[in-house]
Amino acid sequence: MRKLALPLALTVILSVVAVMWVQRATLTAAPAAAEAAAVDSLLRLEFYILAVFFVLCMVFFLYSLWAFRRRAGETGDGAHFHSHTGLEIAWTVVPVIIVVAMGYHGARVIADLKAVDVPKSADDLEVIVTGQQWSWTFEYPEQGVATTDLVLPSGRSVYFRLRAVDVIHSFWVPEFRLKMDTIPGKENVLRLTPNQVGEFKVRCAELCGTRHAYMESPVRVLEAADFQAWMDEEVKIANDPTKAGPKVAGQFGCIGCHSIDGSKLVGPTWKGLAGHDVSLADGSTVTADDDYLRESIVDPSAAIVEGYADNVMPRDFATRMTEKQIADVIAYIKTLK
Amino acid sequence: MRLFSYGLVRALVYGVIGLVAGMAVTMAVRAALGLAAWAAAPVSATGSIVGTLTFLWGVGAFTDWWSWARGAHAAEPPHHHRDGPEWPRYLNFDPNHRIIGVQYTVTSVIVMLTGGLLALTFRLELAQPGMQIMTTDTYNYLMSAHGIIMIAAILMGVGGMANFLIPMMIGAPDMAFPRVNALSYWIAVPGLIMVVSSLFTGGFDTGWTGYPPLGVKAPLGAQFFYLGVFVVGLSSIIGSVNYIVTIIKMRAPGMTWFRMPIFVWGMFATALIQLIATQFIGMAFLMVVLERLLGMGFFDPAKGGDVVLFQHIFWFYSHPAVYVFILPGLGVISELLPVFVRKPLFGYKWVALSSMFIALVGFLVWAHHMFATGLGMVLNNAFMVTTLLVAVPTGVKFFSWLATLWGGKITFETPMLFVLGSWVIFLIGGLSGPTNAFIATDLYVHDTYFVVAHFHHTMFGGFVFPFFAAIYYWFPKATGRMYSERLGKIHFWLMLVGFHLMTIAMFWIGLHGMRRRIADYDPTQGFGPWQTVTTTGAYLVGIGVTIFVINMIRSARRGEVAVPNPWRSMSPEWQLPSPPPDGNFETPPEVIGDPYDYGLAGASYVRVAAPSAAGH
Repeated sequence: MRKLALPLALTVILSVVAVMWVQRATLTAAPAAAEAAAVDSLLRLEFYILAVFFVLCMVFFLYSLWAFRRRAGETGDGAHFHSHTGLEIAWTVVPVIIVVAMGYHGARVIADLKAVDVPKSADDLEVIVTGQQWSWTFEYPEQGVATTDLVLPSGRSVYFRLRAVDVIHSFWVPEFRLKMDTIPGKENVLRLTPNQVGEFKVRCAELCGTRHAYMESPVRVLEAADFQAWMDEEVKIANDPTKAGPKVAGQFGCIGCHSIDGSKLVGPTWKGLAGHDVSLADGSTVTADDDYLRESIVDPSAAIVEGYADNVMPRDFATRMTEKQIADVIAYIKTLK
Repeated sequence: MRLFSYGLVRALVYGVIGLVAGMAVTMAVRAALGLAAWAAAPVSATGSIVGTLTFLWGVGAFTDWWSWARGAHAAEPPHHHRDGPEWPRYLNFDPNHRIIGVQYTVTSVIVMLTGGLLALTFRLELAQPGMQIMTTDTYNYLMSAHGIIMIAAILMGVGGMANFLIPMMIGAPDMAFPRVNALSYWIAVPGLIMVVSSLFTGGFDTGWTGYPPLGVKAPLGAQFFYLGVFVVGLSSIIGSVNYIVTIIKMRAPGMTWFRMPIFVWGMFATALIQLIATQFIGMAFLMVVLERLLGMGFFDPAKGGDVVLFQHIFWFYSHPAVYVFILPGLGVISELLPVFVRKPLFGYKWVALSSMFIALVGFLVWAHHMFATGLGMVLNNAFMVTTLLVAVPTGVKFFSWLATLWGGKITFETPMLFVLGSWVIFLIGGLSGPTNAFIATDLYVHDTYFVVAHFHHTMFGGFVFPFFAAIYYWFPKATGRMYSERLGKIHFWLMLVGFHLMTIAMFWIGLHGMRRRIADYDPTQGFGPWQTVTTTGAYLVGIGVTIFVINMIRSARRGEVAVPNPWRSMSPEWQLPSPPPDGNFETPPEVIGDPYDYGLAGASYVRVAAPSAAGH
């Protein structure tokens, strides 16, 4: 038993050192949401426990290797003992107690966060997040605004509804801590409260194909007043057909292929399109009314304009764009006389 | 045609013929149905299934069964006491467990080298932010293939240790079903070929987890990956039946359950998991293949399917599979420690039953991989608690190993170094586990390098290091020769240092937000230097493994002839000649004591009749 003194003393000393290191170390990315405090302190508590277990095990391990090494010239075997029921029970029961206590604590932490598996409360800002290969769109349904940058107020809880169009993605801003998958056919929710003004990034955390690494979108957290100003401006744009349309058309890349000045690009120009007759590849002629324009956006193969190829324009705008955005684009096209 | 006398050559030729024939028939049927004759996915799918069967036919897997079915007597295996070199046996359908064990082990090492080379390739790309030497798609293919190829390698290694050791350790002449046993090895070969060929048929970019919908959209390589894993899974299931029956029915007289070598306990628990769980990954992957080929929308919400359902089925195997990988490795640690410490394994019954408990709890934790899919609070908390419970039996093992070291007379030969290395690596792997079990911290570290580092610790500590320990330890048993101790030690230190360089950097950047499975990373997060360290560590591991391969090849050919029992072990396999004759023991050995009574004067574990001179 005298042999126990040194490793026990070392365990105590080094445990204190390890715990102090864990206490001071910056273990995680800089926090920017209220939820980070609870997550970080649970993480630190876990690391305290494992630091102590690590030190305990390693000290006895290395001490044994040194103290019980075979010295030169020794030939005999080790001490002959098989088991010690008391010890075995002790190192079964103590971990069980730690597991149960920590399990309870862990369940409390995630429940108290009220971040996952919770209904929306009245003063949450609602944001619909849609992931698709390989970009994010953010919709503020209460305000009727949709963007590709995530702009949030500081100090107000945000209720994210998470959706995916094609494959699984995962919505994660490391500084906000908690992530949640966006899954086709299933809506997930996540409630977070950004509390640091600054610029961050949504980083897709679930492998989603070719450009997964680059599936990142800017996040801006603003002071409440600045956010309100930004939102007022966005609402104004959204409600002004001359502004909403151009914004949406830029956001979804429409004007990359459809010119607004009559020049010929990959797709037909929008200038002078609305209300006029269009010759189709199959020889027929249609009038470019609202229904035709809408059909050409959501089902581009339905009618191919003479002189243009099929299968160039993406066919998923029906799922990517809101009805309002589609209407905005149509209204915009109609202004291009 | 002397070349044709080798089963492997015959199998490959027949396999290619079957592949082509299967493709031709499918094309003919398609043409007859008025479809375009060529469609890569369905044509190659039936081709590879037919090719797998003809491969097995070519190697001779069905020969004896076919004879019996016709009422004829199967020929006696032709290898008893025959003259000439032994190595052709390793290229043939040979029912001897020792041969099969070596076949599995060598295959494992070859497959592991393949997976390792892939990792070393994409680690170069990851050393710095920005894309330097490959496209993001190439990275995705290499990373995905690395994962599944390493898992296949581990399954082969488990089969190697199990086959080589179980019969000798329990004093049996062979496995209960020797031909089924050989089938379990040979069916894995076309499966492995399919998995590796995924890289040359378009690759797959889903990671080894193959989640739909991405897996449904992935290139043709994904189909070879899914089908290959399905076939390798068959190998696991067939093999595990044999291990279970052999362990239950064929133990030597006097070998009660609590007098079995402890490795056999680990393998028993492993085999139960393999038998019960493997069909789940087979089913999940088959369903994705059917969705790809025939548009069956199991996992497609537009057709009434459910995306998350796949993950439940998949992880119901793939989490217990982790214990398939590590329980044999932990068995090796428990088996070797007493020999090099020269005292009994502390708490034998506790260590033995902890394996069974891990196997049981392992079935109840699968959804901890899925917290981020939004499981809801009830599932979240249930799976958090079951997951944490795994710490209890694992802790029993760790503390028992510590107590085994206490008071010993420890020596540090290469196998022991690898055992001690596993202990440290697996300890860190285990301690980094709870962070992923608690919901709140998991939702932070999930899908980051923290998880990557964590599971590399469990795989290296639970399988890779013990596997190397086992190879060094039983190398003299398999070859009759000794490996180079000097090269073995260099291998160990390179791997130990390299591995920790690799993973400590991964842990750190993972905690700070480095996502996993990304080809490129944001330079503003400052992870570049850490990634360089990880790449450096990976290359040290690579150099270490190269030295291991050189050591094995040189020593097998020209190594010093080994003494009969170099480790002074009491275990039955070391009471046999090296390599042991077919049938192992001339008369069944008799178990007369406890397995690890080192340090007890006059103690003996088994009584084995001295081998007669007529043998080898």
